Amino acid sequence: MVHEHERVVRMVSELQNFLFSMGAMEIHSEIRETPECFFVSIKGNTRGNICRKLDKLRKLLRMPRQADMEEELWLLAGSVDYDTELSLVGMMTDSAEIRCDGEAGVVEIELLRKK
Amino acid sequence: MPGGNEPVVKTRDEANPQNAVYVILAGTFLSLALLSLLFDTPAGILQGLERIVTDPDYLITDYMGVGGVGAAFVNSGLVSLLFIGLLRCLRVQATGITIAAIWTVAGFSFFGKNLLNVWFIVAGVWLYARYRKEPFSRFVYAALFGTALAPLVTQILFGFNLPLAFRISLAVLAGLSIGFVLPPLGTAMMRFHQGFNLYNIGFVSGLVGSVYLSLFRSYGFIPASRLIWTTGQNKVLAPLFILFFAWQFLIGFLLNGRRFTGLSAIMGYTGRVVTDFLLLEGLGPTLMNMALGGIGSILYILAIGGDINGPTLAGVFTVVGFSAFGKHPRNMAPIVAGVVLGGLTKVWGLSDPPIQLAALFATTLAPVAGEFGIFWGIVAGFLHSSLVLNVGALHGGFNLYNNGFSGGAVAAVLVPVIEAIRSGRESDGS
Repeated sequence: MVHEHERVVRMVSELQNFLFSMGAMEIHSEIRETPECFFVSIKGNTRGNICRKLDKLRKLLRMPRQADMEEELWLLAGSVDYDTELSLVGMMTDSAEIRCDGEAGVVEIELLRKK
Repeated sequence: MPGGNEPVVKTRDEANPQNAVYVILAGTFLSLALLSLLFDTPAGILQGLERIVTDPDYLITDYMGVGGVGAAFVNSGLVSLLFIGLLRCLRVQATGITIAAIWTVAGFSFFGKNLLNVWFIVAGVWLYARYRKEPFSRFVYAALFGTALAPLVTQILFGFNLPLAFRISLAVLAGLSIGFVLPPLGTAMMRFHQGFNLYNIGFVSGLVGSVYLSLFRSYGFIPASRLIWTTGQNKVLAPLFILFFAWQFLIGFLLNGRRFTGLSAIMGYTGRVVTDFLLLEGLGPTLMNMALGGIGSILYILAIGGDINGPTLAGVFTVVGFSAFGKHPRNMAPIVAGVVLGGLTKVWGLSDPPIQLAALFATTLAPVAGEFGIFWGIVAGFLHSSLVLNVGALHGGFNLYNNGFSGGAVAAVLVPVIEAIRSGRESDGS
């Protein structure tokens, strides 16, 4: 698959946009690459009522991996900040985990993308 | 704790049963092929198919006028069934874009795509996948939508005055080379309109078609304007397709447990790429939304005194297909209103053939209305109705998705302007 690194960078960018939209002022992201896959971890503080947005995130990241759709559409991930392409991120990953510390408002998202 | 801490489990969604999607698609287009017998005898259909395959078919060529209504139905049904078979063989998971691609191919098999001319481009995409050493299934949607340039192959095969062997070689070369360049261009051009033009490959095909036509022109080829447009079929075709889509709505309603749940959720999405209603809301609501798009489109054509024929059915089918991948009545209505506004103020009428098509296909810009609201949707439709009449000259009508070409340009020009105005207002605090 060509542009593998750029695809992962765009996934991270999309998630950063998402955390900004939830009021995050501090975002930490990490990418680890192994011969088989990429691990992406992104963590940010949030403000306000985030329940609905987290439910939406959960729904969109649940999309099954879709290599055929990804091939044509991956450049859209992280492209605008007023709309999300989280379903595309879902289609580009094999598993996802969302953790939320309700009291501190800290949200952590971990993704695994097989090569 | 908001949201909980459970992992997001990725499973094939129960609401999206793969077999059911393919069975419904196959059943739909098998029915379409069989409906041909209402209009013609098997012998007449065969003769009509021969004319469809061998006649030049660049814009606007209504296959109902070339080979008869029966042959056009068979051509549409068979081409769709062959592509459904191809997707199944490649084990492609059915999603909203699968439905959009098959319905679009079916629609354009009423004017421009046929049993012969589509395969050259598909083979070109396959060649690209081989070159990249990746599965063909990864690029299969570029192949399906890329058949927009199929009339170029027909033109070389049957429209040029050259020795047969040379024509065949040239047609193969053109088809393969088009197919080979479409996948990388499809990805790159998505950035141009940021997903606000649903017919992305239409935009790409417009550019590629313009390059090819320029080459042809350099060797003395002058494309003639063409308009084969049948009339007088409304009394038969309108009720037939309204029933067809009503049946589809009923299937969706039953699959959805006799509820409308999910349909209102669909109306809430902006529609910008990627908005896959099948994956997001399931098969039942998606089928109902598709049926609403189909019935609405037919009623619009009747309301403006238009014609139900091959080209307008292509528009209707494309609306139906993309109602699984971004379109719904709420985001389409402002776009159509923009075209209608153009009809009231510009020099052409709403029932002029290219404008009938423009109104249906302009809904490629539905995400503009979905994202930025009714006003900008109307502006997009208004601009599109003028631009689409001018961009066809660039590719000489060889790109069947002329509206996708125009829609890409409108979105690319309009969206940054809207963003700038909107962010200006936000910084003013207004």
